[in-house]
Amino acid sequence: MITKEIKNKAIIRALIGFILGMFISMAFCFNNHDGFDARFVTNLLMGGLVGLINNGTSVAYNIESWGTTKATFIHYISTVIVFLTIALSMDWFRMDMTLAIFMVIFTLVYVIIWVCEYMYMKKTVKEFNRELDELKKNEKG
Amino acid sequence: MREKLRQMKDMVDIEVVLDEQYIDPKVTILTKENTAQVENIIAAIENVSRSDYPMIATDTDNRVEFISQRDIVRVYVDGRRVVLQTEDASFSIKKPLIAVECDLNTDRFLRISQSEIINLYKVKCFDFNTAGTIGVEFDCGVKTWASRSRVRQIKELFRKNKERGHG
Repeated sequence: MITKEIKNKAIIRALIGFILGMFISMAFCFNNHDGFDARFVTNLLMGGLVGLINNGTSVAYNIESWGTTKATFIHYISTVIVFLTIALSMDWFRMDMTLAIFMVIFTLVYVIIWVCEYMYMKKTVKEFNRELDELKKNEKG
Repeated sequence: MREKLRQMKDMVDIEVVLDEQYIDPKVTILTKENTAQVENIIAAIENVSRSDYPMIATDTDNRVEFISQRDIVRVYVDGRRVVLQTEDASFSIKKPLIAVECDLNTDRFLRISQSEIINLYKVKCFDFNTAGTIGVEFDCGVKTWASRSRVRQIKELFRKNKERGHG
């Protein structure tokens, strides 16, 4: 269930992401531009937009009824779609090997995070069941 | 380890024995015959027990019924209703979930999501699937899920019960 609290969190994170995205974009673009021209500003704003979506959609992990898999998938897909659209239209990347390698690494990061989370939760649940058995063995009366 | 704590002699002989196997106190009354005095003692003990862990009042079809906390499997929100579920039946509660949570024994009950509180002693097992949700199955066969954000609280309740069990 998407509560009011989740919506507020999404807005705040989106704003933080927008600012962070602009800073990161500034760091990449600063050396490549002569002053604050229109292209520089556009790059800044597009970087901010990527940050906005990436950070804003991270609330997917806070939605109680969504499992890790769904949350990871939603976050991944929303980030990839926005990033690719902006990156290709802004000429940050071209449809070449560099982009392919970047996407593979990007996807791999999400897979690794999902696998780590899955293994941690599996281990935690195993511990819970062990504790539960002990609890029931000790319960009397 | 059993340890006889004290022995009192008055009208009634009271013996308190510390035994770490008994997490919840067990009262055994030894008597020659079941008299009014014995009934009064039982009533007094039950009153004290209820005041520590009050029975939960339910209101289903305009009929008020009091449910012992030991019988509760879970309490959850279903639409606009708060539902109390035992192994045999479901009952409606007129209070909000947060108010019910205040009445429940915190050594047994645990909130596993925004809309559900469970009795840990009624849980058969937990599981975790590839969808990434923590499943909870109860002894009576009912299944639900726990929020990943409540993992810490579940661990804490197990730790608390472990400490109680070892005195």
